[in-house]
Amino acid sequence: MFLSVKGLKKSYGEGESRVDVLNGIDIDVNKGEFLCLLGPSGCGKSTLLNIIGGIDRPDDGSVFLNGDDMGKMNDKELTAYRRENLGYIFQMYNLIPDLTVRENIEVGAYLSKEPLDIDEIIEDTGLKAQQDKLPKQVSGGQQQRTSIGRAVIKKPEILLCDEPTGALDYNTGKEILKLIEHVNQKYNTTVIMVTHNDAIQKMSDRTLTLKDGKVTGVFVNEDKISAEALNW
Amino acid sequence: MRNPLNKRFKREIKNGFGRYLVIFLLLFLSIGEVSGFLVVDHSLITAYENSFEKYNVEDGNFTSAAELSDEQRKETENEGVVLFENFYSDKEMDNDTTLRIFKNREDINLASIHEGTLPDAAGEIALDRLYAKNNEIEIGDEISHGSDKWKVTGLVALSDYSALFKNNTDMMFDTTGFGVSVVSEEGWEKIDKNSINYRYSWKYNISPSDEKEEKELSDKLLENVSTKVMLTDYTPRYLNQSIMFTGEDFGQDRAMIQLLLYIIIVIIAFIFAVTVKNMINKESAVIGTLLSSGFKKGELLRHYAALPILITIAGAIAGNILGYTVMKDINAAAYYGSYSLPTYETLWNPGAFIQTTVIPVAIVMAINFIIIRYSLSYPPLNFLRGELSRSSGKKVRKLSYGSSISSRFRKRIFASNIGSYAVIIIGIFFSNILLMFGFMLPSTLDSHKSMMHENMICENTYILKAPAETVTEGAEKFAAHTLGTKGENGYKPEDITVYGVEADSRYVHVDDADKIYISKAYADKYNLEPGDVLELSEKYENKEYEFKVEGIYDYEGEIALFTGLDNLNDIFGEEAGSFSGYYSDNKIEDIDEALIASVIDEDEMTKAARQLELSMGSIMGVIRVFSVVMFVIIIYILSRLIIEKSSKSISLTKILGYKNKEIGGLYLATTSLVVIAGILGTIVLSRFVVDFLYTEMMIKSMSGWMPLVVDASVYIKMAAIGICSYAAVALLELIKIKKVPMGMALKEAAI
Repeated sequence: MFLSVKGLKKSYGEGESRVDVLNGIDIDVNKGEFLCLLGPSGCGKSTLLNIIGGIDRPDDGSVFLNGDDMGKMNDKELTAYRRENLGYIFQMYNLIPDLTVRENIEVGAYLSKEPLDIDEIIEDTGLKAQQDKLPKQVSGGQQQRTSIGRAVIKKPEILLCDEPTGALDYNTGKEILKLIEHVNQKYNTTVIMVTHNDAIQKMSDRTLTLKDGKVTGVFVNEDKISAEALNW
Repeated sequence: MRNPLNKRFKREIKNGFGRYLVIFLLLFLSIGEVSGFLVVDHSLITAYENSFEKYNVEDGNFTSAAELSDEQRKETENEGVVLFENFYSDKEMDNDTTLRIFKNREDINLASIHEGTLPDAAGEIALDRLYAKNNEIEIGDEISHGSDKWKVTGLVALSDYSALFKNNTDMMFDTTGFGVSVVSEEGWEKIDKNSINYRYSWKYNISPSDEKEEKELSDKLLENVSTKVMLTDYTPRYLNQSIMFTGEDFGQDRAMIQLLLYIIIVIIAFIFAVTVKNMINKESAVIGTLLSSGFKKGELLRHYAALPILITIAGAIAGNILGYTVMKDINAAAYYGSYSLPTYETLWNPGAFIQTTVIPVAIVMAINFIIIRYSLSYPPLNFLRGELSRSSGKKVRKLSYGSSISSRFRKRIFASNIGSYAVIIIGIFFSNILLMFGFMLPSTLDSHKSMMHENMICENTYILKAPAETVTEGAEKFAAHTLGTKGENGYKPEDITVYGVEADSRYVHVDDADKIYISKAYADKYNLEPGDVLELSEKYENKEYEFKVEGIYDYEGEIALFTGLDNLNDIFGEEAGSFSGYYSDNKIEDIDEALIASVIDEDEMTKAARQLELSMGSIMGVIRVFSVVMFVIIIYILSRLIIEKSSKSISLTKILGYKNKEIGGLYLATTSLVVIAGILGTIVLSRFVVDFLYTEMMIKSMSGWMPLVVDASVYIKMAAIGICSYAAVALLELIKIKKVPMGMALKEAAI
């Protein structure tokens, strides 16, 4: 299995204020799969994504990528894991404010031994006209395109998307989803997308629904539609 | 209702505890030191001024070649004075010092007892406290002059010797090689009568109302006494350096100490302002919400300025407590290390409170109000969008795609933190000024000593009490007259000696004996050039003189004017041929020693530098330590602010897979380059500022002139201290970078 999550548990706080965010999650993900994590706020979607992304550690259970146990990795190895395998896309874009659009994408290129061509990515993301502007000088959609460009340029094996359209309007959100779909298909990148937008699951290969830190449903999408055809 | 936002002060102090603690300590210590200094300065000046009455200090003294007869004494007292015997004997002690022994004075120039008791029996002695300390003599010790031995019973300060001048014409006092003491009446009887100097102190029956009247009375007394008594010395109080020097020297460091405090306060004010500005940037969305909800900018301005002001007030109050307790004693010890002062009482000094509390708070308030007001000047929408930059709409400077992303990253970090870097450089600049102040003294004094050696007019300058002829080969007459500057524009009035030298002098080479030349020291100190006109006056008379500078004579030994002997006698209405002393490379041995007021040789010329080294050396050490501490604190706080400001980006780069080393390379390398460039650049700049401040300090608070010399080793030391201090700070910052959590990039700022 490409990516396996086994018996993942995570809680925050102690005593009466303890909150169990993940209560034993098991997931297997195939290479090149588009997986949607669906659920209401506080169900543990983002925590699960952060643990898969190596920026948080579980209390129990582990994550295996190509058979390597992330739980046994030290901080340096986790950094290398993120650097070599992961691309991140956040709801609030999280671009470096001091760098231009192009430079933000180049930050991703810097982290890869064999990055994709920067001009090709800028072309693909439709940012040619904005490439020398700072993040604050471009729209939210363009910022999210930059974020995708930064994640994709390093040719990650997994693209982790945390509510990538959550801060965008319908049309812009759709454009972003089209771009993610394009990346998934063009580079065979595994995509794990957290969303609470029910409609988006229709473009995924599989959807997991989470509630109270548990997987409450698995839905294999036989009638997968393109992002273009999505409607909400 | 009180502004509910103010409830977050406690939390803010807790969050930034390290930073606020360091700033508080900086305020506490610097204000403590200055407060202690000002309190002691004020208390000691008061004690010194009161000592004239409390210890019945003489109005003047003269020394007679022999003991006065009853008739001579009566005739002298008929001139409106009361005479007191103040006989003394100078002994070359076995420890190679000169000890002046007086019979204990019970009516005049009383002693202030610091420790022990006054001598009661023969063979007992009370020593000047400072002389005893510098020669490591304690109560109970025995001191000797050949077979004469005395047991030390007490340590005292004689009210007519607050500065230990052996001769009144000496350029500087000597607290190690010369001391004063008192013995009992029985002890005095055992003193070799041939060694006794018959000094008589006088008090006027009616005290003169001002200095001018004092001079008139003194001149009249001299005129009358000199006809009846064979005088070997005549020193009215206003000319007595042993009594007056201390009072004139008090407060000379005041201007410098205050200047240093205000430099520190300005830096602290900027640190506060940058901290608050960063906080405003971080909390922009919340500020936007508050402004949209109806909060006034004035309310937010007061809120953000309150913490810096409260911390400054707390630091100032605590500093004043430190000043009145611990620092007072430390500063008093510095004064007691130079002068033989009477005991003192600590006095409340309202001026010190204003200077160390009101003014610092006002400075912090003003700088913070200006910067915070500017930071809050955006419309609410800008705050909501986080667009807090005047340049947000402007085109971004394009950097060459050819350079590496890391290099461009560093350039962008520099550009976005340029304000903080500017404050860092200003802070480094001020620290370097302080550091240079701390280091400049040894090189300046060393250079002064060697300059004095090379620059002496002759091997021995003899100043006579009364005219006397010599046949010594190479001896050359000169006349000298002392005038004073007026002390305008806040300048300290100082004595200027006008020398009249022989027309074809072998020692002073003036081209034209009818013209006026000023010494190079005079020209350098007051920035004078040929053509300038000097207005000098008789210190205690209404006579004024104007001199047109016609040349600069290459002599750095003193602030002086040179002209021909005849011209000088002409100017001052003296008889032709009048003179005051001799320049001579050979020792003069055919003039009665009683007629020689003093001999100025190399040792005498460098005594001033040695004494300065002794009295200011410890202060300079304190300044050096303080400037290094301040340097470290400033760089630490500001580079930490840059990292805090960038913490979200740092957190993000971690998530993306950057290693801590790489992040350090981006964020710390930029700061390192700025700091190192700042250190090296401002060392050069600080030289100019120190030069200016030093000259101002010399003009406004010190007599004489010592050219500022900063040798290469000072620059090397400063650079090394700066870079090493930064290396330590960078290590701490690297730890800070390591500690930035990845989760930070995922959170939104909250107030």
